[in-house]
Parts: sequence; structure tokens; C-alpha cells
Amino acid sequence: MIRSASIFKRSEDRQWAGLLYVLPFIIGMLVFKLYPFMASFYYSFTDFSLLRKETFVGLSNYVYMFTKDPLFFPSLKATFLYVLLSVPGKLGFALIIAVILNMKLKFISLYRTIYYLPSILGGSVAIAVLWRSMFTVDGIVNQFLTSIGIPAVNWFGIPSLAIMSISLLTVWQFGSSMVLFLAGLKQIPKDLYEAGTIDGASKLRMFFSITFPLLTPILFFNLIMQTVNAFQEFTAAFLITNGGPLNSTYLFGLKLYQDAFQFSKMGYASALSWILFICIMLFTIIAFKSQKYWTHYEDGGKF
Amino acid sequence: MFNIHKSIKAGMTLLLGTTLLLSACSGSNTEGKNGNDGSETTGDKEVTLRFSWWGGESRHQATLAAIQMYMDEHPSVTIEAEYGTFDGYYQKLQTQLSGGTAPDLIQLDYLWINDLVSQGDLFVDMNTLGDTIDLSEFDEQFLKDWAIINGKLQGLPTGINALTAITNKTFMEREGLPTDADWTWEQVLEEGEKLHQKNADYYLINSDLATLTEKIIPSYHSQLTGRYLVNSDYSLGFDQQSMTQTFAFLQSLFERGVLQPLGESALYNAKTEQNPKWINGQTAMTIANVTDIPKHRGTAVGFDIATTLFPIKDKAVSSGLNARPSQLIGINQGSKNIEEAAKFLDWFFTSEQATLTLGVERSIPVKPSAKKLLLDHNGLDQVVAEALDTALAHQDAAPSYINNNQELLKITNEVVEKVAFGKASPEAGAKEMVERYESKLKEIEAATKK
Repeated sequence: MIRSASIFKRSEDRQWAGLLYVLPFIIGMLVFKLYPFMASFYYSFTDFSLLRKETFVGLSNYVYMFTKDPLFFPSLKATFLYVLLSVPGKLGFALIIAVILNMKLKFISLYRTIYYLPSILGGSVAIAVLWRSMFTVDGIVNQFLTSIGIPAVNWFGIPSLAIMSISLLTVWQFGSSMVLFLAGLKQIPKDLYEAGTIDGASKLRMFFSITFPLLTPILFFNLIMQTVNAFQEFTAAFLITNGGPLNSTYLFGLKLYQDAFQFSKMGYASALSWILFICIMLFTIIAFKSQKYWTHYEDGGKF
Repeated sequence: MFNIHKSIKAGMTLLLGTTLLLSACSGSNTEGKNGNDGSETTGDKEVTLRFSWWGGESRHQATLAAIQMYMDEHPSVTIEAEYGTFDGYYQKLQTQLSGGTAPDLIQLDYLWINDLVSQGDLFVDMNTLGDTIDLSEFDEQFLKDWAIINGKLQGLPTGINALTAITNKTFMEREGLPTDADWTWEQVLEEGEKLHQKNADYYLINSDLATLTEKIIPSYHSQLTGRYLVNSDYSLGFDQQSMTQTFAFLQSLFERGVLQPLGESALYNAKTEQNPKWINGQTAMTIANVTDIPKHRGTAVGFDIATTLFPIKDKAVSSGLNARPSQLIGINQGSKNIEEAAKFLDWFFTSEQATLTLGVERSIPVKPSAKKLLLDHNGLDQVVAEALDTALAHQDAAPSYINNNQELLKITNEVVEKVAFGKASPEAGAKEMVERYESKLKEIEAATKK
């Protein structure tokens, strides 16, 4: 009796020890995530400039954005367009490259490293600046195009093109999705392909009947991650086009930033960020609901 | 058991959303509460001052050298320099002021002052430091126009700035464009059209959206009507008719090929000196501030630059030109060493040593004695000095502070862009300007009176 009681006590001690180990994370989470999260929720109901104390104004920030702010809907529209352009492009590109890099080729590790590089550099300011100079009217991209007989394109000067050029920068940073696809490809059992070969299936048929279904969980994960990121895109729009021309690249992240730090409307910017949060949340819920129709888990989706 | 998978997924989603989302809005209160670590102030020993400014490399070097001189003279004072480029300076400053970590001495753009001090008492009224800082040589009207808000002298102007047109002398002489007379806008349209017809790569004026919004449009309107866009009582300085005329002028600048299409110059917005048209010598002049001359000289490879008067329209009611400060330097109201900061500032503006070391890095000094000193020591850049003298000879009344409001500038930006891209007619653009300015001005007025 006594023995078992003492064992019980000791295992309870261990539980507390576990808590101690995760304490840094918990503190970080509370201070840097939960507190700002709750604070911004509160500020979204206030009139709060950076330098003045906040005053409670109820829902008026939310009312203002839907009824008065002439840039709210254009900015939302630009953001959705950006997500629609960049995410499928990026995932498609990542998948194709992953399939190619999954083949048995010489120096394959070297290629994998090289193709991952843009993702390491991608979020940085320097790349955005480089991208800008590559796509100017007399930049290297247009020089290449004219050399093969295609007329030069004003990539960032035409409103409908500018958003695509910015999306292209994101598509180019496909590395992290690619690595995940690659890991997924490695896990597909070889015997399935062998069986397919014996049945006389073509490579394409095997890709759509074996590879793709087994990759859908990874695809799902990538879709969520990339979409959440895309909704919050800021760097490219800020550094390359600064929202222009004609607000065609005035992404929501940029609007948030300008309202907060240029116009000192912190309360309003907080309210905007909650709208963004709701958009992301809605998308994620829809994605999870739709999951059962198109993803395939070997274990049925249960742990 | 059965729902673990689901709840983990849900938790993950929530986390993803929250994590990344709020980074933009959490800056305000996360920084430390007590800045100004010059805590050992008792008994005028060992003082640490922080001084922040933006600028290019040469300004940094000159300012650092001046600071070193001051510290050599005053061993008990340490001055920590915080310098960088203009990008992000204002955003950082706002978070610092909000978190109480702002430096003691702060370089400011006059464009921000009204927006800042309408939110609270942020800077020491220099007039209360009259015993420490010699204010006698600062022009009273100049201070009143640009630095005194709510009856307080918020900062001291480091130099005088004005609008100018920086010309590519080599190009103008080759193309037979007049270099000796002042330009009118009518002449600009005429010569610009001819130039562009002669060679489709040539544009008479190198401009961008920021130049149009901040310089050409307000000045032209002032030349047309004698009024800037906003009066000091928050009422509109323009109406449907005057703005339609201004936008019709804007439209013809583009239609007649005087300005490069905005779509092409957009990538060099607020960086006209980097526009290949300027660098490659395919444009006659850049509309800019006098303080921008060194930058444009820096990228003018293979041609000579000069300046000419900012164009003024025929039968102008006013010149639309005025002297404005290049920057201001203010003392943080929350500073623990206001007295020491003021002493340094006095030295900065008054001493011969500082004046000669700083030269025209912050444009030509406001004080006549400092200007004369530089002149005597060959420290005055001839092109800069001439550009300023030309502009100041045509000086007219200054616009009210409200014209500099960032949200109003954003509205002008958008409407100007629409007209320039042909998405709105001058009439439609003017209508939008009237409506949006009126509603925004009401908001601003309401916020200021709180």
C-alpha cells in the first residue's frame, strides 16, 4: 500500500516537472501572443492613437470601415485576389518541382538545396528590392523578353499586372511547401507503384491515382499554411509598389500598417486586424469542413 | 479519445491565426516603460543624451564629428547617436514616443509636427529655454509659419528649404531649351510637347506621384487661386471649379508628353534621382526640394546640373513658393535632461565649430550669421545657395499646417493617380477631392478638438 502511494506521488511530481519544461513556451505565449491578442480586441472598440490615451467608442470603428472608409473594400478585394493568385500558383509549382526532385538523379541533394534557397531569402527586404529592379521597364526580365521577340511589359505599372507580379514573388518562394511535398512523396509505399506498373498503368495515371490521393493531407496542410500567410502578406506590397498603382496592390496588411503607424489610428487598425482574423478563420473552417470530401488519410484521419 | 484529432486541429488553426495576425498591432505597449536612461543627472555630472536623426552618409559623418567635438569640450556629457535613413523613422519615432523611450533630441519633419502635437504635449517649448538657447537670429515669421503650434515653439529649424527645379544643363543646352529665363507652366507644356514629339524617350520633367501630390498640385492651385488646399480653419481652400482646372492642367501634362506616365515612374516614387530618365540624361529637369540637390547631383553622371525657378503659371495670383524648414530639431518633453539637451542644441546652432562641421548637410542654416560664416569659409554649395536665393526671391505666404496631414495627402495621392491614369476626368476627380476632403477634414477637426 505504502509503496504504491509513493509511486503515485512521484509520478505526480513528474507531471509538474513537465510543466516546468514548457514554462518558457507558456510565458512566451501569454506575454507575446495572448496579451497582444486580447489587447487588440479591446483596442478595436476604442479610439486609440499611439500617443493619446484610448477612449471607448463601442462599435464605431467597425461601422466606419463598412460605411465610410473608401479603401476598406478595395483593399479586401486586392487581398483576396492576391490569395487566389498566389496560393494555387505556389502549391502547384511546389508540387511539380517536388515530383521532379523525387526522381533518382545525379546531384539531387544539391538541386534540392538550390531550389529551397528562395524560401530562405524570400521574406527578406533585399529580395523584394531585387525583384523590383528585375521587373522594371528596362530590367533584366524585359531585356530577356525583348531578346526573344516578346515586347517589354510594364510589370508594376499596370494595375491588373502589378498584383500578378507581386504574386509571382510569392510563387517563387515555394521551397517550404516543396520540402513538405517531398517528404510526403518519400512516404508513399513503393509497392503501390509496382502494382500499378504490373497493371499497366501509365505514369500520369499513377500520379493521379496513387501519388496525388496520398499527398492530399500534405496538400491540405500546405494550403492552410500558405493561405494564412498570404492573407497577411505585407513586405512585397510595401516595398515594391507601396500599394499602387491605383491601389491595385493595396493589400490588407499594408492598409493595417498605414492606418496604425502612418495615420496613428491604432484602435481602427486593431479593428481591421480582427476583420482579417475573421476572414482567415472563415477560410480555415471551410477548408476543414471540406476536408472529408477530398483528403485521404491512410489511417482514416484518426490518431 | 474520439475528438482528440479534431481538437488538435482546431487548436492548431486558432494558433496559426492568432500568431501571425497581430504582429502589426502589438507594437505600442510592448517596449520598456522608462526610457531616457540618463539617470545620473544629479549635480550636473555624467549626463547621457540621446540624439536621433535621419539622413545620408555624409550627414551622418558630419553630425557624428560635431557630436564628438561637443563631447571633447564637455567631458561630463555623453551623446548617443541614433541615426539611419528616412524609411521607417517616423513609425519608429511614434512607437518610441508612445512607449516613453524616445531620444532626448529628435530630428523632425515639419510635415509631422501638427499630427504629432495634436495628440499631446510631446516637445519642450523652446521659448521657455530662451536663457539657454539663443533664439534671437531665428526669423520670427518663419518660426510662426512652420514651428509654432498651439503657441509653443516645438522645434528649431535646421535649415531653409524651398521648391526648385534641378536641371540637366548639358541636355537643355543640346536640345535648345532656354536656360536663362524662368519657366512658366504654359511654356513647360509647349516645350515639353515639342521635346517628346522629337524623341519619344524624352520627357521635359522628371516627376513622380509624390512630387505631384506634395509639390506640383498644391503650388499650381496656389498660383491659380492664391490659396492652398486647406485653410487654417479646416475649411477647403479649393472648390469644384478650381480643382477641375488644376486637374485639367495635370491631365495635359501627361497627355502632351511632358511627364513620364505614372506607371513607369511608379517604381521610383519618392526617389526621382534614381529614375533612369534622369540618370541617362533623357529629361531636362526634376522638380524637387533644394535639399534634394546633393542626391540628384550624385546620380547625375556625365552631365552638369543647375537649378531654375520652380515653374509659375502665367498671370499667377501667388507664386506658390515659400521657405520651409529642411527639418526641425525638438527636445523630448519626457527627457530627464532638458537643460543639458538645450545647451547642446545651442552649441549645435550657434558655435562656429559646429556650423563649419555641419556645413549644409541640413541645408543652408536659418541664422544669417551661420550662413555668412559658411560663405566666408567657402562652405556654401553654390548651386544650393543659388536655388534657395531664387526661390526665396519669389516667396509667398505659407500653407496652413493642416495641409500636411498624412491622410489628406493620401487622398490627394489617390485622386491624382486616377486622373493621371485616365480613370477619372478632371471634373470627376475634382468632385471626389471635394467630397473626400470635406469628410476627412471634419474627422480631423473633431479629433483635434478632443
